[in-house]
Amino acid sequence: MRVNAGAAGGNALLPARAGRSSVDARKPGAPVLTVDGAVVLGLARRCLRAGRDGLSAVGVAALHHGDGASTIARSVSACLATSFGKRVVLVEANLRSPCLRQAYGLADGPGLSDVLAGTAALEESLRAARGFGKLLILPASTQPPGNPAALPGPALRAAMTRMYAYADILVFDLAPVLPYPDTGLLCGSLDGVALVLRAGKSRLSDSRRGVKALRDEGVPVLGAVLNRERSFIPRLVERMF
Amino acid sequence: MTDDDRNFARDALYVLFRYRLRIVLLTLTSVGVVAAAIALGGGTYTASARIVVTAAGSAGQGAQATLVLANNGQSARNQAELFADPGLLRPLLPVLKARLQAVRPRPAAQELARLETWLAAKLRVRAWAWIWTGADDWLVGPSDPDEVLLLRLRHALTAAAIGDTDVVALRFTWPDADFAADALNLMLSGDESAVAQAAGARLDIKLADAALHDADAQVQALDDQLAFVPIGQDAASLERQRDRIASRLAASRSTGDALRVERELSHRKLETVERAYRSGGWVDSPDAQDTPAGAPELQQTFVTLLDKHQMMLSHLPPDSAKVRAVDYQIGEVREQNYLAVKQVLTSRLATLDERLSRLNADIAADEASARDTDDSLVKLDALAQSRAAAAARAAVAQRRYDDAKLAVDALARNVSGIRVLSPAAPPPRPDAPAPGLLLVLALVGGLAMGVLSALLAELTRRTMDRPRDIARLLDVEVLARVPDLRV
Repeated sequence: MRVNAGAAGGNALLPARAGRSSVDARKPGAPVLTVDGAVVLGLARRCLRAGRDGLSAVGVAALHHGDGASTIARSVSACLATSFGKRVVLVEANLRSPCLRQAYGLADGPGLSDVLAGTAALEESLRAARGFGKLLILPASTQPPGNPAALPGPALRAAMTRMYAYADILVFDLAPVLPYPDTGLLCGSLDGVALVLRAGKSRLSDSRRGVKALRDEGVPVLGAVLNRERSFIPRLVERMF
Repeated sequence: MTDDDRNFARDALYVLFRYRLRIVLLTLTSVGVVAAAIALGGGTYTASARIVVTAAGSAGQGAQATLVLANNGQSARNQAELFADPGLLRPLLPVLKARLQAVRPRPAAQELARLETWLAAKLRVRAWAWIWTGADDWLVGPSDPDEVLLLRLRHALTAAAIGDTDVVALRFTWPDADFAADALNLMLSGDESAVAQAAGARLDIKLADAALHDADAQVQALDDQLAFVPIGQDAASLERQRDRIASRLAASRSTGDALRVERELSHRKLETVERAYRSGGWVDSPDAQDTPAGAPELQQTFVTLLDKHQMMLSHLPPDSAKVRAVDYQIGEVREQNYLAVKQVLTSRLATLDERLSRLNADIAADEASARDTDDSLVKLDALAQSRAAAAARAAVAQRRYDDAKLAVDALARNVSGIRVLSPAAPPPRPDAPAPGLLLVLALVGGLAMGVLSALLAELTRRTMDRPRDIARLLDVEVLARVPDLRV
């Protein structure tokens, strides 16, 4: 299973190569980066266990920009939709640097900010991701990006209630934890958050601060995803162990 | 392999491969630095020469140059290293300078500066190793710049060699191989006359000393043998024993002769008795001592019966029964007398035979003892003769030793100099540690530094690079690991 990702989708991405990625047919000339869904299988299973009554809302957040949270969110959404046959809505709650519209090649239109502001209906904002089963995309907003301060509140909870009519699982692509308070304010509405750490870049002190910030908001930290992990040992030597 | 072992091996490999560039760079740097040092330094070369040193009467006065023993594990007396006080060697500098200008294209001033520096450093290192010359003073004294250095050097070498040392190995170390050999040969060039004579006399001393030692050892061994002869085995005792045995043998032999005569007489008596019995007459004992008990009574009976027989023949026919009965009784008495006499003589013969047999055994034993005694006396005599010969040889060797010693002493009073047995040749290789060994050590050291640096870097790393970092440091479950597969 492959998930298409846009060029701005983060660094934990792969250049598309034959046999390793699917191709976005709607933008054949665009650079497409993919992540093998098998590597996020554990995260997908954990997302399924996060909620109650078969419904759950989980977030994917990173410490800083470029750590790969959006890519992981897309990957786990695609995995849930195709491998587990779940109805999934991928909500782009990262209003600071939205990228899903470009990644999936979506046309301009209303998004999450419009839904929360009441200027657009949820149904007209949801977009289907063709080739990924029952996966629906809710982009951030129309251009320019919406107001992050408007994210938390009753409007979001009402929107999430309506989203459950179309999905079993809501996957939120969240803004970075350390630079912005958006994620912390939003987390009260989620069943859990997966923290994405970038190998070789995420420092121990930052990681501890990120985990502490999430726990201080009362949201369960489902676990961590180690992105861009490098294996320095050659495969030939690795096989010996 | 257990899981712990496998994890440990994987961790070690992770560190090695992650910081491989650092390890390789440190190793190459270490090897490069050592290689450059080898290429620029060039090492030092040690030229060596072997010389014969003759004794000099002026050893105690003029010997002010210094000689240092090489502490290389060999006999200190046969290995010496040339060395000199910088003050004493300074007069040599003009000579070396001229030589340098002849053999070296480089400016001589640089070489001479290096020479002086080297001498000063060498002096500090070796200051503890002044040799005792056997003369009345150490070979360290005030320098006398007016004297010719080479002469004083030879005096020093000569003084060092007084005694039984005659071949000395000299060594001279210098960064340039050719210069090391040239300088050593230059310093050793000098008087070679009359040295062979002294060396030959000294060899005579050694040979005479060895011969004297051997002869003394033989004398001592023979004295030991003679001193530890068992009691009763010395010459006087053996001679007395031999005399006693001889007298005893003479007595035994005379006794044997007498016994044999007596036996012959007894044998003849027995034959006489037998003949008398066969003739039918009365058998008398040859001697009164051989008369058996009861013989007179039997003879009386015999005479009575004869008288009775004569009377009966007078009135009875000879073949009458009564006459024959008397005849029979006469025969009985006669035979009984014969057997008794014969028994006495036979018993005497047996006794004589037994005594003769015992006497012969005693004679044989005495003869054997006499032979043993004679042998022991011969051996003792041979030992005494050998000791006398060995003592004579020792005396001769002592005379030779004394003569050779006198000759050497006489030469030593008049001869001063050294003879070069084998001049110094430019050493083919530097005597510093081998370049290959240094490079190997640099390689190993560089690797060790690289690995140590890698370990330090890994221990001080503060980024989240491995799943175990997350699990151990954040106490958070690792949900997924996305490999970095960028091309």
